[in-house]
Amino acid sequence: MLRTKKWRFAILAILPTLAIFAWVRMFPIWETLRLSLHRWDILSADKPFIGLENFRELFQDQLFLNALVNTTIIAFGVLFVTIPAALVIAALIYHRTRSRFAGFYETTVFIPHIVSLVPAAMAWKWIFDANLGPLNALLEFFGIPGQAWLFDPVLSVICIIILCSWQALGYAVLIYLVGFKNLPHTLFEAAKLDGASGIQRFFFISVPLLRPITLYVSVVTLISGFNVYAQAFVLASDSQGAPGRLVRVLVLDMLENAFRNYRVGYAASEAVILLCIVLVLTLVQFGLLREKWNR
Amino acid sequence: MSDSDQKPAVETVPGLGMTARARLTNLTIDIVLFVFGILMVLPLVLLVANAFKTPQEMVAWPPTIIPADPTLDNFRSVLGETPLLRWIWTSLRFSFLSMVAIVITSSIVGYVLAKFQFRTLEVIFILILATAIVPFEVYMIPLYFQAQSLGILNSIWGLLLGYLVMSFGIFLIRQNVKHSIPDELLEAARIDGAGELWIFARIVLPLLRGPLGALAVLSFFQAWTAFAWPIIVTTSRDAYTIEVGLALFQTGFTVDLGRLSAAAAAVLVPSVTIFVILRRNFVQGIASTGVKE
Amino acid sequence: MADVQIRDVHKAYGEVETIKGVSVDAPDGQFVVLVGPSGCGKSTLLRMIAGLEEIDRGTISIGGRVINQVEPKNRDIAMVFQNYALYPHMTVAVNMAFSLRLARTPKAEIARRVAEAARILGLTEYLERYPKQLSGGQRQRVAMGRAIVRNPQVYLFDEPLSNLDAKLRVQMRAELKDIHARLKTTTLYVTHDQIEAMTMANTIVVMHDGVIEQAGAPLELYDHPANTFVGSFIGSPAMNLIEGHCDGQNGAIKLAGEAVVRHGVHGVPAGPVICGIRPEHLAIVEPDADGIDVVVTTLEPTGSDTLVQARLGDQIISAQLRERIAAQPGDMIRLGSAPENTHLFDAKTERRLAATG
Repeated sequence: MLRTKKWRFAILAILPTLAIFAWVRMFPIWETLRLSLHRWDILSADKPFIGLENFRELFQDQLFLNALVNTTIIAFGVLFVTIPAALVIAALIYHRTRSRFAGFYETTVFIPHIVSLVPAAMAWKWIFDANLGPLNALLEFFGIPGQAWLFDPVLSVICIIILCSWQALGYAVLIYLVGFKNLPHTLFEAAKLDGASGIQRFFFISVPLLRPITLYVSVVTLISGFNVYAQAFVLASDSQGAPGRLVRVLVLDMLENAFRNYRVGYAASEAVILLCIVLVLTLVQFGLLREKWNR
Repeated sequence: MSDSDQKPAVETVPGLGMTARARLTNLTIDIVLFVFGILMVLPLVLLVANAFKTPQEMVAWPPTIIPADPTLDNFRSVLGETPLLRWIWTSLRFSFLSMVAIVITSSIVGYVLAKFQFRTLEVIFILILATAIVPFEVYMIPLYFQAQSLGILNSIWGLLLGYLVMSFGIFLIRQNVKHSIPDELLEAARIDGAGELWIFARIVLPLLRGPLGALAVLSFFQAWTAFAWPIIVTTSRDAYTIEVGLALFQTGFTVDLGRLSAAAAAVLVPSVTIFVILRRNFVQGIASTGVKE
Repeated sequence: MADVQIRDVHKAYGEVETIKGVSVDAPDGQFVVLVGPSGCGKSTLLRMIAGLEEIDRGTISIGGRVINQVEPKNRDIAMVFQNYALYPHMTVAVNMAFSLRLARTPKAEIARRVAEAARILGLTEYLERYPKQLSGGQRQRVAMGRAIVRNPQVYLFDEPLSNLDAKLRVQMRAELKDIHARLKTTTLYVTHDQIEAMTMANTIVVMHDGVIEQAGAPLELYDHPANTFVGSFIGSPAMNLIEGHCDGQNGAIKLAGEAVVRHGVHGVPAGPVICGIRPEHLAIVEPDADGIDVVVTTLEPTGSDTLVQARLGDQIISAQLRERIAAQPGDMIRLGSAPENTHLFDAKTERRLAATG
């Protein structure tokens, strides 16, 4: 009787939320999986089951493959810029935790992470602007010819990587700072007594001990890199109103297929590929973590 | 300091217990961090500065941070051309409602999952955790059709549909309840004669003020900065959120830099200000995303 | 005021039975201590009395009323938890008044009872503070106060002193005993600390693995432990348990080697026995007296006593000697004890063999 009373409260309390959850989360996820196996167009009434046909077609689709390559380059590019930079910045900030400017350092590094994507991307779009932007002005000041940053496919990808890294850095630094604060302080003191310099302590103690955090931040950075959209939308859209043609990314390709070409099933199978990438990354993370603890 | 035993006292600054070398290192680090911090916010600062500049000053090199001849023309013409205030108002309402929904659902479910041990609830928790890793972009197309069939496209309810629950919020509250509210506290209340709802409202919620604050700030900003979902759900100019409005505004052919900067600044300045005020909540919330069980 | 009767109570979590048929009587106004090692089921039993755990089988009654199906709040009990379970966001006064408010007691009555409890516990000047502004001992008192204001029929304590430091624990022990003497309310008290049990209880119930090993007055348990478990659990340092062989006639037991101890039990059949001797009953004896020759391994002079650890065969024997001794580790000494202080247990069942003397 006592038990049933507690039960009743628990069930009544979570039921509405679970219903919402099933409605706006579970069901759409299930639908994505289902649609990916169908030829599901908005226009035609017939929506037959076609197995993996959508996937087969995708891997022959030049636009999709281009998007996949671009997105992968962006995701890993952001990773390789962000992680080392974040680790160093976090170590420096941690070293100066007691400085009266510590709050200033944390805040300035973190602000790019919280500002809205679009206005931030607009700021960088101006910086990269070939004619008006300060970047080319700076280069020319040093006698280097300016580049058409946002009109060249390769340079545009680099611009997107810079923008995304600038935004991702704050999060990575914050997580690393939590990691640094959780490291046993005595280890650093012991190393100091053993004669390790600051730089040696960083490489021989901080970096290896923070490995699980590095792994976590890397996966989070990669996953958000694979979901890049707004940044490419703003930076790599030309002024003719055909957004994102220059640097095609996965989410953009998916939305174009769904809403411009009305091929919803096809777009859903792109979503499933995105999901698979995320799943693999997550599993790799857990796998590496477990390996670490078992050793 | 251990150094002073072996080395001559010259290296030790009297009274401070810190070697001159260490002080030099700290100074160097301070300078590096200071410059780096300035560089990080410089793009935003310049953008805001541009908003107040005349067209001539905007292309001057080196760029000025404080405009020599500040003007509000850019703002005036943006407000004339776009429903900027309406977009901001939509975003504010959307973010606020999303925050309320997420805080309510997360606190109730997080609490129940933390403190009521039933086999079924474990399964539910694993399910919620598993869907947490699925990015929004993966399931937003079917969700769009759900919004469409409900006839709530181009409305705040359509926007809200994607931001009613937050798996991470449930997880965050569950962890906090587990770690900071001992079972005995709830049992003491039950012996004292409190009902379950009463316990939740008067004991659990007051003790969760910190994490709930963090979650509120996180969920508000999550909706405020949302892009992919609003851009597919809203198709009429009047229904845009500020993010969508800005993104589409800046693709326009005739728009000049001054007006773009003004529009962006109108969004940036308030949100950065709010962030600086709520920094603690924010940092607590974001930091807890990295903390594992 | 009421008594508590526990009749053949069982409790299982899945396959694991944690309470295997327990019956306890706590007469009205008594202070009953449930003691045992961690995991023995004592806390579960207490929580069943409180109504925080379901009772699988058996009955619990308070004042003659079976309360198996009664809500915790209607059982007329108050519980004090190990970590105090004070509501951190409420002041001391509000914490103490909480249950009365829920029961819609009139304001004046609440104020009167809180003031009274605060007076008894010396908390009057702390009423407006928050729990985190108090010391451990003060928090403990607030938890007590919260129980007292309810004026319940039964107090339940779940290891209430475990979070305090050693000195404070001794002090709070005396205070609790004093409060019980004044209020004379039936109390059930769970602890793993046998000294707390010995000093506070009218009746001690020793539990182990979900069953009651022995129940009785503190000194009864000390003098006549029902089995080896109770023998070694009650008393500190723990009783020495030495395997030996009884010759069946002259009250002598041969232990490892040539050692012999005497016992006062009549009619013990010849065969293997377990011989229990408390460290404080051992003394150095003359070389020709009955006793055991042991090799000293460590000596711990505490001032009043000397604690000796010594080796008998491959077994460690401890002795608490009243005198200061000159022996060094490695020396051999001869220890003996009075026959009436030798406890005999069956080698197989580990139960006590008859009564001494």
